[in-house]
Amino acid sequence: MTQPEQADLEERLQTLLAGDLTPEETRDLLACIVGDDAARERLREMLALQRQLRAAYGYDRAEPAMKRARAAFLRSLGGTGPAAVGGLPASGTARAARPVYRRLHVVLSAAAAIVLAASAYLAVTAHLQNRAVEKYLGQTAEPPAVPPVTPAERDSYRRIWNEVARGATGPKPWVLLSDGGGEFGYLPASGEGAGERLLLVRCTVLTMQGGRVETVSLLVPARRGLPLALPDVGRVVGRPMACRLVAHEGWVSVGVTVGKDSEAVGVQGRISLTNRAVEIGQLHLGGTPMRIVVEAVPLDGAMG
Amino acid sequence: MAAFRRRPPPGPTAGVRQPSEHEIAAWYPRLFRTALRLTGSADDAADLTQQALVQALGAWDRFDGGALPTTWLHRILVNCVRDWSRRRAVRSAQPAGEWDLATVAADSPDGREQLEHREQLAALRRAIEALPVDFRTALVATVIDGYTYQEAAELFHAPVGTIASRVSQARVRLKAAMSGDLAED
Repeated sequence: MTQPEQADLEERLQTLLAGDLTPEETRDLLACIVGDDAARERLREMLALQRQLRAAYGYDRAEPAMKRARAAFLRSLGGTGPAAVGGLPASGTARAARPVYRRLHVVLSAAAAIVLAASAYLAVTAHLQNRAVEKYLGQTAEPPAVPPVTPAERDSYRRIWNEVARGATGPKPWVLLSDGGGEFGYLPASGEGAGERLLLVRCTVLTMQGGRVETVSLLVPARRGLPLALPDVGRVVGRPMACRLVAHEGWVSVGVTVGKDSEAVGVQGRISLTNRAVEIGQLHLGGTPMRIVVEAVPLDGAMG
Repeated sequence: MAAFRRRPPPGPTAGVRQPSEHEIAAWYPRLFRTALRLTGSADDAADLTQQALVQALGAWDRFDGGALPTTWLHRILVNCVRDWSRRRAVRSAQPAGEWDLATVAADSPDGREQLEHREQLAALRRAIEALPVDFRTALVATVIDGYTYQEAAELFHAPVGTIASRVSQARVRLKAAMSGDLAED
């Protein structure tokens, strides 16, 4: 593992420990970890250090108080989905409110799943670990039926990019391609430029039977930390589709939402730069589930 | 080739929405631990975390998405703690610095084994406090408080790679200082 790869792994593991990964991202990361001794060892070290440091300052003893206070606060929000500001409690009531924290179990189930999954992989013996890995891999979804990007398509994307970027002397553009045509805009200027790679991020919405509903393709520089949020990149059953991505070295975080305002639903996932389609999650639109499949493909050659 | 049209740049608030309960649940421990470090009291930390979240959620339409929600919340929390410290000046004449560490008071068990354990933890505290400030603050923010590297990068106005490097070096130095005491129990 190279140093940048190691740093990237650590960053992802820390995000896992912070509880900021979606279940799909957690699944992808754990799938990487189970087959990588060094990654498992690193996670074990990080967990051990975290436990020791928190114990050194007595924060482990404060964890039950934190959980009680969090449950009280979440309960006070009223369970109306996105935080209901109108229903917020007056501050300073956490200590007085000591309810039964039944809902906390639901809210924290994802976090508990992370801990349980990580613990399972770390604690078992080699024999049991192999069985656990096989079981885990058996639970992962079938790969989505999206054909990989062909060499001819890569050439086509590069030609389109060159056409759009030809007139750009300063900031680098982004290019959006969909059935309805193409759009472009410009990214914030940065110190980067020469040597950046061109990246294709393709988001496909599929029915559960594999039928294609919408496909949008984005051409962007593979610039570390690049955030790009684009509303109205396509339509899914008559609703607007939005896309947000953050590019990093070796992976891209992609968020896809469909619908507007309070009716919007979305998924987010982190995928490696390969030529492989990854299902980052499913959306339920009017009771109909849709699969969101993303590919992040580096197009060969530096942009110059 | 299809005709291209240029899209106008998005406004500063594009994409910002009210956080979900799930997100608040995930953010809460980071804020609580920060408050705990600054106050040394779990009860005060609970009150201040709630106060900060109430303020933030009530003003979420002013959050422009220019920062991560957690770093915005962190700033609000630190301001709440500062106000709290001023109000309680008699009890807290010297409010803790933003990244200082405070040991949370608790009854300690007796016994030889527990005593050895406490001595180990005290040695670890000394080793942490002997770290260069940049290493220590990065370690505190991520490992103890639980912020992600990206959040720590925003808090300290440093690249993510720099935060990762500081945490990594802090870990190496702690290991050396503790000479194996950090091994898994």
